[in-house]
Amino acid sequence: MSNLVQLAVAPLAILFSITLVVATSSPPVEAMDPPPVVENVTGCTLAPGGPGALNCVYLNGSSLYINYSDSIYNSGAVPVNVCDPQGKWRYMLHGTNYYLHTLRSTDTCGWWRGFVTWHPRTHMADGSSFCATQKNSVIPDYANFACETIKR
Amino acid sequence: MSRRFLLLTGLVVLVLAFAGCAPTIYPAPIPWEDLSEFERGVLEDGTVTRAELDDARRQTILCVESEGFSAYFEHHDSRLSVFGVDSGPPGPGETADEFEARFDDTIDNCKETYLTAINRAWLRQTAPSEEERRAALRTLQICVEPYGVQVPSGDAEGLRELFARIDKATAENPVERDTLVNCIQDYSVATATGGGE
Repeated sequence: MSNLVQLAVAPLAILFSITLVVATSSPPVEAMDPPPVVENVTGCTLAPGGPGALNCVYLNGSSLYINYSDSIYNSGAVPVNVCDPQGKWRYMLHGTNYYLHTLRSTDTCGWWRGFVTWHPRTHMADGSSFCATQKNSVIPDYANFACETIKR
Repeated sequence: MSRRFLLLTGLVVLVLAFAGCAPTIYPAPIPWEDLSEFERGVLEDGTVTRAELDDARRQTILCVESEGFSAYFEHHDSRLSVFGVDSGPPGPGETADEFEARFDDTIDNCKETYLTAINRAWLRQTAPSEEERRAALRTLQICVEPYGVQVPSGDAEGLRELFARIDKATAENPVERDTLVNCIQDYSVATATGGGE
């Protein structure tokens, strides 16, 4: 999905050294048809919490197809225990309406990071935004959405 | 502070250091007056049965569905599950902000009425023992070992190298990144104690 996802990242996020790169993995080759090229991309925005706290969306997919996405909250320079993460995604399948999906990974805790993984396993609308945010024990209200643009 | 107390504290710290585990974290119980009637009915005998937990999940789904959304639970194992909600399209004439607010409020209200306190009590009464937590840490260590990552303990300092490696792999090696994230997520699930709100 070479042009699938364009990085549209808040410039401030770059200051905090989270690497925002479209990387390409090398899936195993078998049979005649080449497998779809799977790419991964991460976009972040600053988030409430400690200094350098970030809210990020991580995408794995091919062309308009999104296999899975992580909502990641990084509590920043000062490590704290991040518990009860609840991720929320905003996405467009077709038409003009954005849909919402939320997932709460029940009552797990992790130092520094809150991870929630969602598997849409479907195609998104060309040119639409795919966004994620999170709330957890550190930030009781959702942070700003971190977004990527889906492109064919 | 007495010498005996200091000695005891030092001993506890020493034991934790050798055990290589972060202290177990339990959430503060939700005050009785803040519980819904449904939750009080379940929790008044002090325990949560599997049937009561399943019923709480069913009621939560029905509550979310009454607002036109669809909800489900995906089970990690016999203790833990993931609660998911799909919005579907906005209602007629509903703005994006109104739609999102209704979505968020519905989920929060349904969880608070039927699920949160009961789920927390369930996880507390089924919390992993220290031995199980040590085993989970060992599993994590084995999981990340092929990548040369050391996880000396399950606390912030012990996980520092692992998170640094995940950041590096996010840019350079997505397959490695996914494996390491799965390792830490499995550890989180295995050591879940009932939240930290």
